[in-house]
Amino acid sequence: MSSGDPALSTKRPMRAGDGSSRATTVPAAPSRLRSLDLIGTRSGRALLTALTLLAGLVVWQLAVVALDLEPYILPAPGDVLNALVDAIAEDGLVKHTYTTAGEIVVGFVAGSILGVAIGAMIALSRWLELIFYPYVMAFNAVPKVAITPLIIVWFGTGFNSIVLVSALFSFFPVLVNVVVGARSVDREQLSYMGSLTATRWQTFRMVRIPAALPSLFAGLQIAIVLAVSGAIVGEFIGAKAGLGYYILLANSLLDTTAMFAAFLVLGALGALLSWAIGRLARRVVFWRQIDPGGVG
Amino acid sequence: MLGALALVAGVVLWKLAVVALAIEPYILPPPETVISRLVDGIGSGSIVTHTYVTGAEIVVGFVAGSLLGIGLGIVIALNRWIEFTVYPYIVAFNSIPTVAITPLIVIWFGTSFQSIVIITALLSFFPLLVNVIVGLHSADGEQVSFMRSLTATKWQTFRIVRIPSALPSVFAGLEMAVILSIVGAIVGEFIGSQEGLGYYIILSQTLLDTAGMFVSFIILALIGALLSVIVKQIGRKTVFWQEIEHRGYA
Repeated sequence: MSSGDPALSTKRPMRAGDGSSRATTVPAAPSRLRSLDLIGTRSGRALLTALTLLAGLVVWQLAVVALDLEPYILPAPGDVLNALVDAIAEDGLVKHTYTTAGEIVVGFVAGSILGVAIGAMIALSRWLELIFYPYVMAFNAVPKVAITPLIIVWFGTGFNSIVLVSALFSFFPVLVNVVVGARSVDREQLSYMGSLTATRWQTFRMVRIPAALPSLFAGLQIAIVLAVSGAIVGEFIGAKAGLGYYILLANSLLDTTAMFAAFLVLGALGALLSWAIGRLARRVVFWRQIDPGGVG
Repeated sequence: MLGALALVAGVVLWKLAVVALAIEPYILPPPETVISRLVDGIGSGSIVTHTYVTGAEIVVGFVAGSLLGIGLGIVIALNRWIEFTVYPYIVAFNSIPTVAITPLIVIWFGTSFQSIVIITALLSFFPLLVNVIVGLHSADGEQVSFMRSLTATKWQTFRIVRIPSALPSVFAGLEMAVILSIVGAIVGEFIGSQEGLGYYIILSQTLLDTAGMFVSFIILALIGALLSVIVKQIGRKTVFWQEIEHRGYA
């Protein structure tokens, strides 16, 4: 290894966790494949996860049949898939999904832009910070879900109200994270810019913004999850369309199968949106791992 | 000091806005209506009952969910097989917003205290689970090797190295879980309950009693602030060696 000449080093020990299930060279092959080696490889893990999924579905189906569960308690996996297909074909699930997705995305974008704008203002101006931050924090202390009915009273039921609710949910994480991020600028970097006689705008562009980006994107990742929750809660309270409304409708008809179908769609939607923001975060903030923490 | 000043200024502005813009009381009630509604509610005892019910749901759900999350987190963190089989599905289930599952919980368990506690516990469970796993995995490799060089047993290593490394993460999870517990209790009450502050908000909504809603907001904010402060203080005492960052959103 220490010779440094790649042409000469041909012996490399076989290591699990490489991601490769093929040996490169085998100096002294281990006599037995330990079960733990399976977990070490990527394909091994994927296989394990897939097997567990299969096992889970089988257990689910068996439980429903063996315990003779009423469909409104726990529907069988096959029934849920049927319900999903039916719902798409007949009940306009696609339209509901589209409505909810629209509410989430528009609300998220609006709330985030507002959060960035106000966050930047607060971070850059001590006056604004002193004036506004106490109100922001006080307002933040009231759980946003509690405020949702008030929003419905003020703005009625309908797409726009839910967008507003979603925006409200997205706003705070972004705001707080922008402020934290903007404040986290390295003092030495600022001095350095000063020594290069950089203008305020140049300092802002080259030092402050990149410093704030990791925090901002962590906030965006939290915000998208909250935007999804917000849209659902908003639809629960006051809407006549959308996945949340569809769930309540199924609830009133004790149609648990349809509810499960809606859960699947909702889960997929949420996962897709989170993944999208995650990808964006990784591309923009390529120099750092973003850690938003686990928020449900 | 600044907070108190901002509060007074805020109330004054509020009153001025209501009077100057002649705002209807059902859109924005003046401060004194809210105060009088609060006093009436306390006097008649109804607000007290609602607050007590919601508070109990929050605390019981939070404790139950956190304990479950911590327990399962320890099991998953220490056992790679379970981590690769069970954990991906827990993460997948978490893609479905727990609030969306609320109506199902109500179908299964009825409109009762238990249902709300279950929802609240479900919401608290996940942050704790994730943070316990992250925290236990974050143990310093060198420290673990050192323990091995002292021929420490697995349990000793766990107790002396892994648990302390995990504590900051666990308390960060607890702070998140407290906030989520409040959210869970309220949404649960929206869907299926006949008492509690969430129920009171919906009731006020149907009566267009915006002042009542504001009363609930204030009480909920106080509950949230109180619980957050308690968890943070316990965290600071327990994890006395660390600066805890402030991150707040609900």
